[in-house]
Amino acid sequence: MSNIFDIYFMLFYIRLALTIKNNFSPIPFIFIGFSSILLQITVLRLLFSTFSGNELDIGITLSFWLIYVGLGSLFGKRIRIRIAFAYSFVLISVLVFPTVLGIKAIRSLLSLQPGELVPLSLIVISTAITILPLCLATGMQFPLAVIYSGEPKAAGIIYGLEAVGAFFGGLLFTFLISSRINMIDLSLFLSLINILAALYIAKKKIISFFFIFPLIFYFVFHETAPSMPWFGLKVSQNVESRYGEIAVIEIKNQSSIYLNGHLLFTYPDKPAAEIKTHLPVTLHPSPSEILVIGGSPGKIRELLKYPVDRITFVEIDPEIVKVSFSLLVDEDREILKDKRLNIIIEDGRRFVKKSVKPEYDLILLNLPQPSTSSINRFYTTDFFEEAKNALKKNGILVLSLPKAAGYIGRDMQLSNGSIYNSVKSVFTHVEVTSEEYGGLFASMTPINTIPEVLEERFAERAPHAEHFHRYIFYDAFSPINVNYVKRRLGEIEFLNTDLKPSAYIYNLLLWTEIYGGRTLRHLLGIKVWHIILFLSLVHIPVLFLAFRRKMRSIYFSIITTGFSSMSLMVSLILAYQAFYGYVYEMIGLLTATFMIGLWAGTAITRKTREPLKILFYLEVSTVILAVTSILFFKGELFFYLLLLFSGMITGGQFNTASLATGKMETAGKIYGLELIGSFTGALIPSIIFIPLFGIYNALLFVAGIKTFSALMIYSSIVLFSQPFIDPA
Amino acid sequence: MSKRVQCELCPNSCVLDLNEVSRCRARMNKDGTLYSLVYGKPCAVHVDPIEKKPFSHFLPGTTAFSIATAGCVLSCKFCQNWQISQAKPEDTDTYDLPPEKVVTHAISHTCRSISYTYTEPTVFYEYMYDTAVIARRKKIRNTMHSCGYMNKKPLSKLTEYMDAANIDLKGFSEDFYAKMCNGSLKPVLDSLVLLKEKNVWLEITNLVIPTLNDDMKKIREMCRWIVKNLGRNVPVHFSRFLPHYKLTNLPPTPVETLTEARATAMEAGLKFIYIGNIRHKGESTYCPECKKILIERIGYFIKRNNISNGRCKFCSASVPGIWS
Repeated sequence: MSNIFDIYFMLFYIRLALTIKNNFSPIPFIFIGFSSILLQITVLRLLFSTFSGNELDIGITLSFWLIYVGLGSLFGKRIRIRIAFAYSFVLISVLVFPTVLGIKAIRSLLSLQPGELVPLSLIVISTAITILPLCLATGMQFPLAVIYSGEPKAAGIIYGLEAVGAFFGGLLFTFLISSRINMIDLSLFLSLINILAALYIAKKKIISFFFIFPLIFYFVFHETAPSMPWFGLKVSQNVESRYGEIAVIEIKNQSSIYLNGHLLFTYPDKPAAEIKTHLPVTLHPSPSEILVIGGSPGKIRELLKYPVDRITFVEIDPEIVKVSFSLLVDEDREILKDKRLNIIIEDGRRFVKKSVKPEYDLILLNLPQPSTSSINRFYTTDFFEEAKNALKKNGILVLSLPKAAGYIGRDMQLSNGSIYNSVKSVFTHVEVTSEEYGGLFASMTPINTIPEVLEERFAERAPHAEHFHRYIFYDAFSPINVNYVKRRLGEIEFLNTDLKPSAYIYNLLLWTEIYGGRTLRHLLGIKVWHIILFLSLVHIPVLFLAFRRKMRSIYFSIITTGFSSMSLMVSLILAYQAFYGYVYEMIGLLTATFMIGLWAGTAITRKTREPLKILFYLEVSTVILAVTSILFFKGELFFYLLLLFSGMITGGQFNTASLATGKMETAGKIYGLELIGSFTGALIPSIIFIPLFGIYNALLFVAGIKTFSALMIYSSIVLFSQPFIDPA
Repeated sequence: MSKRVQCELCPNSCVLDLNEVSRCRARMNKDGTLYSLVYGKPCAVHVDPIEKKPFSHFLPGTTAFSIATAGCVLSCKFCQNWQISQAKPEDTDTYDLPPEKVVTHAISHTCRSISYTYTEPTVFYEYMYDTAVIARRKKIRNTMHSCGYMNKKPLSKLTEYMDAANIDLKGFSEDFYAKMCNGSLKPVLDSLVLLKEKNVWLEITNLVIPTLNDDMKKIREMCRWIVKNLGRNVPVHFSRFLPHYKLTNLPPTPVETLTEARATAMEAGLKFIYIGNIRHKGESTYCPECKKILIERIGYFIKRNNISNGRCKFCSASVPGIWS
């Protein structure tokens, strides 16, 4: 799951926290932030695995979350009863389990078969319905808290305290809760502490009666809840890992491992394991060092049948390794004792990058299709270069593409073709199988795919195989079919690179095509001039509305600050995990660096006398940072510096903008505008700007927007230093 | 005068207003006349082993010139060919291949038969029919793999030229057809009976999908129906489900389920039962009398063939099928 979004909410809370001084009784307000961030993570994770999620799902959930929280806070403002604040915690507590169980029940309510994909329309509708009550209640809490505090001016302080709570909630999740506590237990915990909070505030014993609701739900459902989305299929294991929810489904003597509702592999599945190993191994004349990234233990067992020197198995998620090795049937247990097997828990990309000398004869990628930016890192030209360096001279990189039968449709052609073309741009020799096998093989020396040669080689090595047979070579490498695939995929010219990760957007297209949706396809038609035209059209009214008008310029600046800081953050984290690999704690550290920057930025600008002027300089700095940051992508340390600067600039902008308005009441408005900006900044770059135009152009767009915003600020301070007229 | 038309080809019986396209996406009402949008425009053209269709009792070891156009009368959630079957003809890249050319190509590729396959040949009925007529004249056999969702009249007409049909019997309940395919079972059963009556060589494919149609009670019921209505000699292929289309997150069928289905079918009295989509000894043909291996298959390849003149080499039992 994209942790960019996990931390996203924490970010804007913390920004607010840093701008406001605190002299208030803090506990209930800190608690709101703490509880709501954990609830949000819970809901996001549950929805993500219900829909076997991709990047788009997260965007959908967050959109609704924001809208509902906004609506909730509008509604809460009308309730002018002080004690209502205490009961809002009870309300949340009561709503947690129905929401969680509602999400778990979505699949059966929609009568979706186990493993059936969910159409986009149903994802939108069911998300909109299930999270509504809980989000409204969460949104109500903020205005209720202000009323409870008794002084309207406390709003800012309460924002701040919430942020602190959210920050700690996030920390707690990252380092303690994830991979230890499952979502049902976490829900119970959250329900109970919300009632405790209500008790603490209202000091009425009667409230403790409400403890009974979550407890009843928990005892009735905690055992059945994991299997609810599976329609009564046998869920033999359900584990929470940092990377999502792992479920093991048992059908007969066969177990299937799912991560976030997405089928990773089935074990034992000898037919699949054999074909995915014996076919590529036979392509190599003398395989002895094999690197396997991801996949089932069944494949490792097949590989160990060969007289290889070493098999290195790399998997990022320790829980997946634990779970899959716990499933080993007796006859496969021996692989655990085999000294040739070397298991490494690390991001595969990072591992490949680190291997400095050519060591491998084969690199087998057993990864899902690139439906997220994170998996896409294994399908870029940059990764293929790294793989090339890790391979010996005649080494072969092996990957799988989505399969077809008889005909490769246009969306699959685009999705597979962009990968095929990217591989070809790096390796001098690329071979494919017929479309039913979905194999892609790349090397710097010719790969012999003549069936007779392979048949003989396989017969010589004679590994024991039940379902794989040497005749398969004739089928997989039948010249007519191979030529068809090469011709069809060769028509695509797109390249998938780290800085322009296009394949995942094509993969999303393929996914929407399944439900006949063609809307996303229009995205592909977007050209740079469309974006420029669109931005110009948006900016012309802004020019008329905000030119020489201080308040409006500031509001516009705040929206663009939210947008640009989030865009930068998304770009930097995407680039970082592409170049240096994905490390859970490291991404946490990057985020923390940004936050330290935020704090520093606000601290430095706290006492400024000319906030508007400083704001202008900071706007200009954003432009410079956006344009130049790409020059620093080649050093790991630079990323921390970039994020630190970005944080400082953002914090400074936020603080100076608030100060420049000169009014405390505008805090709420700024809060909202910043929210809109950050949200679009998280969504638009990751589904449009970056995949279609690349990170560099995305940053140029940011620079363009910020230049305009800087001009607006400039117009209201320097050019016309007359007293401003605030029309608002 | 109303310019609405009703298509009488399949049980969907689409009633189309002017310029409306049928559910199968391959037919359109243009000015009151029903037109095929796919005639002579296949998007999939391959030379395949006949075993791939799958046919186990029809000219083993030969190749079939295989064609398909876009469109399908059903919409099964597990379709492996969804990229053409669920596509609109205009969204696919096609070849220009009129019936005569199909036959010429088949001959030049030394194919013994033409196969109307991959998607649902019903949707390109006219194209299939015209090609079949020419092929028959040129001594090329005609085969189809179909879901059997065709009305009686067009199907009867087609049987005059169709030598063999492999029909998908996707499940054995109306509920399954309604939920998973948006269709119904009855017309399929009727087609099976009709094809048998008309002496078209018939084989049946049943894709066994975990949790959806893998109940052995239902499989037994289906096999008994086949024995009773079509006879013991109809070959039945139990095919392994692999995650596809809308069911990409459903696990593949356990091998155990397939062998159980095979045993169940044997118990029910069927003589020729195959396991498909997987390399397994159940791909081979065994003599129902002496139990010896008649045709040893590995995938689409024939390792040995012990049938001569339609009889078992070992015990001379007659083996139903088209062997020459």
